This record gives sequence, C-alpha cells and structure tokens, in this order.
Amino acid sequence: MHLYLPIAGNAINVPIMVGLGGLVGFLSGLFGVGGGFLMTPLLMMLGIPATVAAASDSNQIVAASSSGCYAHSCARTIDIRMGLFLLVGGVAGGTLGVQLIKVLRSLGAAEFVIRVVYVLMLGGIGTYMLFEGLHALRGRRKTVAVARPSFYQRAIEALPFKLSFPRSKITISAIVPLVLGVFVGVLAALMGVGGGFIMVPVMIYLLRMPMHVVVGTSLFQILFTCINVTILQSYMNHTVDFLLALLLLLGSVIGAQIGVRLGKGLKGDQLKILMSLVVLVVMVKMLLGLILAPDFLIAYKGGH
Amino acid sequence: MRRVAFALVVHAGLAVTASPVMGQSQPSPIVLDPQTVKIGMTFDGASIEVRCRIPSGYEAAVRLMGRPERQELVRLGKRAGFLWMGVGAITLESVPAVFQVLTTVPLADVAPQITLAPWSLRYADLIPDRVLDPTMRAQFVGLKEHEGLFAIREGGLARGASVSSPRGAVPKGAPAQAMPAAVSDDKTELLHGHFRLPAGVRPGDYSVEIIGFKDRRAVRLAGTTLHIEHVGVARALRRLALDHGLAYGIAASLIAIVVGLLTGFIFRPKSDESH
Repeated sequence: MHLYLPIAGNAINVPIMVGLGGLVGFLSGLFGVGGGFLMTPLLMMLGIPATVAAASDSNQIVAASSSGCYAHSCARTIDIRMGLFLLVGGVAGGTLGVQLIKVLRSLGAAEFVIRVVYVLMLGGIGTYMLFEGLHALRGRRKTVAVARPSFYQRAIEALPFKLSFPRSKITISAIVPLVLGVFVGVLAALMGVGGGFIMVPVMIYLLRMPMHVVVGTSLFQILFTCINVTILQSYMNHTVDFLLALLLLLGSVIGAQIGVRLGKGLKGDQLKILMSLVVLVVMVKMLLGLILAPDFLIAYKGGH
Repeated sequence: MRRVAFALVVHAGLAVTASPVMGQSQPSPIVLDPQTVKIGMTFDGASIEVRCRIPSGYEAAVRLMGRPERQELVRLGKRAGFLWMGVGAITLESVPAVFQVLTTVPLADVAPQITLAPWSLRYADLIPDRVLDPTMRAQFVGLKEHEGLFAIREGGLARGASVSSPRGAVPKGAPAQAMPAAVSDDKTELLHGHFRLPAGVRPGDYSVEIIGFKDRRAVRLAGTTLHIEHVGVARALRRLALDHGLAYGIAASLIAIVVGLLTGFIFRPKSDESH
C-alpha cells in the first residue's frame, strides 16, 4: 500500500511509515523524550531526503507537542514566562537555522552537515545517558554539592537583566534563556527536532528549574519553535511534506500511549540504558554512512 | 463584415471537429499505453507499453528522453582522511533527467556499421567525454540507473504484437509518411516493449522516438510525446506548497495543532491518574 508524497516527490509504503511513527512514538512514550532526534535519521535511512525528513518531522512535532502542552496546561506545569524567553530565542534560532539550511543546500552540503550534527548530538547524548544509567545502576549517585560556586554559576550571576520566574522559583539573567533558546532553535531547524532532549537537561542543570515545570515548559517552547520552523521551511525551502508528517503522527500517537503504559512497569535506570543503546545504534548507523565509501561518488547538489 | 466573421468562426469550428477524423485516417506509427501518466496519490511508478510498426528488415531502438536540462551535482570524496562529503561541484548543462532506450539488438552489433553518436542512444553519446570524464560518467549513470531514471535494455524491444494487449497492434499503413518510400505498407512488422518509470519521475513532456537501422544507416522512423502530470490532490498540494508556501506552512501547522489538541483531549489522564 503506497502513498505518493507530492513534496518529497516519491512514493512511500504507508504501513512502514505509520509503523516507524509508532516505533518512535513507543520509544518516546517509554523513555519520556520527544523522539524527533530518532525520527529524522530513521526517515533518512528509509530514503527520504534529509531536508524533507527534517522539515516534515518539525511539522509532526507541532502536533506531538500540542498534545503534551494541553496535558501540562491542565496540570499547570508550564512556566509561561520562562517559556516565552526561550521561545523568543528559539524563533530567532529557528529562523537562523532555516537560512543556514538554504545556504548549505546551495553549497551542496546540507545532507552532510545534518548527518554530522546528528552523529555528534546522538553520540554525545547516547554516551552521557549510558554512563549515567550505569552509574545509577551501580548505586553511585553524583554529588552535586560543591565547596564554592562553579565558574558557570559565577558567570551566570554576573550577567545583567536579572528577572524573576515565580513558577520556577528562580531569578536569572534574561540573556541565559534567550541564548539557550537560539541554540535549540538552530538545532530544531537543522535536525528537524523539537530540542527537548537538549532543552530538558539545559533547564535542569543550567537554569536550575524544578523538575515539575521542566517538561511542560520545554514542550511549550518546542511547540512554538517548531511552528516557526514548519512555516519557514514551507515558505523558504518548500521541504515540508504534510502527508508524511500526518502518517508519522498517526503512528506516534498510538505508539506513545502504548509506551507510556509499558514504561510505568519498568525501572528508570534500565530505561535510560535501553534508550541510550537505541540512540547509539542510530548514531553508529549514521556514522557508518559518513565513513564508509558511498555507492556512487556523485550526488545531487542540494538533495533531490 | 459580420458575414466574413461568421464564416471564419464556422470554418474554425469545422477545422476543430475535423481534426480527430484526420487523426484516425493517419494514426501514429508509435503508440504509448498510457500516453499520459497521471501522478495521483496512489502513484508508485509506471510501466509504459510502447508499440510501433517499422519497415521489415530493420533493427530498431526506441528512446524515451526528457528535455535536456542543467544538472547540478557534487563530487564525493574523502576529507580529513575518513569523512565522505562533497569535494567539488559538477554542472552538466544539458542532460535529460530521464533517458531510457529499448533495442531489438545489442547496440554493439550495429555500432561498427552505423555512426550512432548523433542519435544519443548510448550513455557515452549522451554525455561525451568532453562533458564528463568516463569515470564520473559511470558514477552519474550508476546513480541515475539506481533511481530507475536511466536504463538501456538491449533486446527490450520485441518483435510481434504484445501478448498483454493484442489490441495494441499499430494500424497497418500508419507509418507511411515516416518510413522510407521503398518499403510498402504490407512489408512492416510490429515491435513492442516497456519503459519502467520510478515513483520519483518528474512531471513534464518526454519525447519517444523510434530509430531504425538498416544498410549502414540509421533513420528516425517516428516520434511521439509522453506526458507526465500531477493530478488531483497531489497536484493541489504541490501547487499550494510551491506557489503559496506561507499558506501551506500555516495550514500544516494549524492542522497539526488541532490533531495534537484532539489527541491530548482523547488520551488525557483521568483525574485519579494525574498525580
């Protein structure tokens, strides 16, 4: 059963795409992550051009994060003020990222750069998660107490434009969430990800936000960043395939619900190790694509 | 003055209604089935049957080709000793996106007697060495063949009527104007074959030509055009995405938000599960 994708300009197997959405949704439900950082590389492995995969995945994340935001707004676990600062940075970063893709496509380097960024991000995050999970399993907890403030803490304290964020119960310079938002926005455009896998640890470790508002605020920021990326990619690069996004969404909605229910019965550290292994397998596959000789020593400039 | 205008309108109307009749009396010597490929939502590539009538004693080739266009490519090579990436740009100024050839005999068998280069039936004639060196040409052709856009099927053009569509015989006498005068209508034979186009083929007009080989010379026997076009939802979506990118992006985002909110509502945690 095939469906023609008018923007990708090719046909795809519908059960495979819905199944892929289901698989990534299942993992995201099981491990509590967005899943975008797995979806785009898997789409690329199935032959979808990297630029179309990244842009369409952004569109799919709009739906996924809307759903999450709805639940968190009901539970009042979104720090809207912090979210807005991250969002301003995210929109600026997303705009920058879309322009960057345009330039990279004209240079014929978009696919290469997207793959390299993926390998670096997946490698870094996968390794970190694996070691953290193993440490936790061995019962060695990290001690975060330090004798005096770290360099990072002193640098953050020294920044001007301090603002209070009551829901997160922190006071911090507005520059920090803005800069972090820009960073995540660029990644969202380049990689077709919401950036939750970066934003969540950033909020916990760098912004020192309490855990109960982190996920909701991250989703709030991701929602608007991905709306911006979807509209810009559609307008400037014409790379958003809505039908592809819809198929992935159908699968991921169902998969996520199954994952959430199954995840409740598993231990967190085991889940973390399993997730890190999935991430590292995808990273290795992408890395091999970069270091093994390609089938043909010629490629289309700017993708198809 | 009005009478003259009325007479002109009537004359034009007659000419329009008469044209199909003219077409029936002089049918094309080459028939494509289908003549127009419609790319709809269920499109997954197409098989196009070609049936043609050629003079007896000829060997032949049928060539399907897109309009020559500019192709921008990158040469892949190793950087930093281990990373494969684009290391140089290659621009081919006039190479078709699609190039497929079916022949009755191996081209190598006719090549010694006939100068084939002007007919662009082989890759080396389509992309000469001065345009792209043989090594990179082989890579380019390999890429295109892998995509299903380029193909040379020697022996892919069979003699006789197609088994799949016996009705498909081209009417006798059809190619009279195209065939060499020495050959009479009843000294003709039927050929048939199939072009296979992948799902990634682009819409447009593609030329299909029959080239006959006999007595140390090649002759263009006939030609027609294959039309490929987007239809229905695929066409509407593509137009919206390409011509109204902003509206398309906003619509895609709005639909995703609605779907997401609905999903969130349907799967919302029950009050006793929320804590």
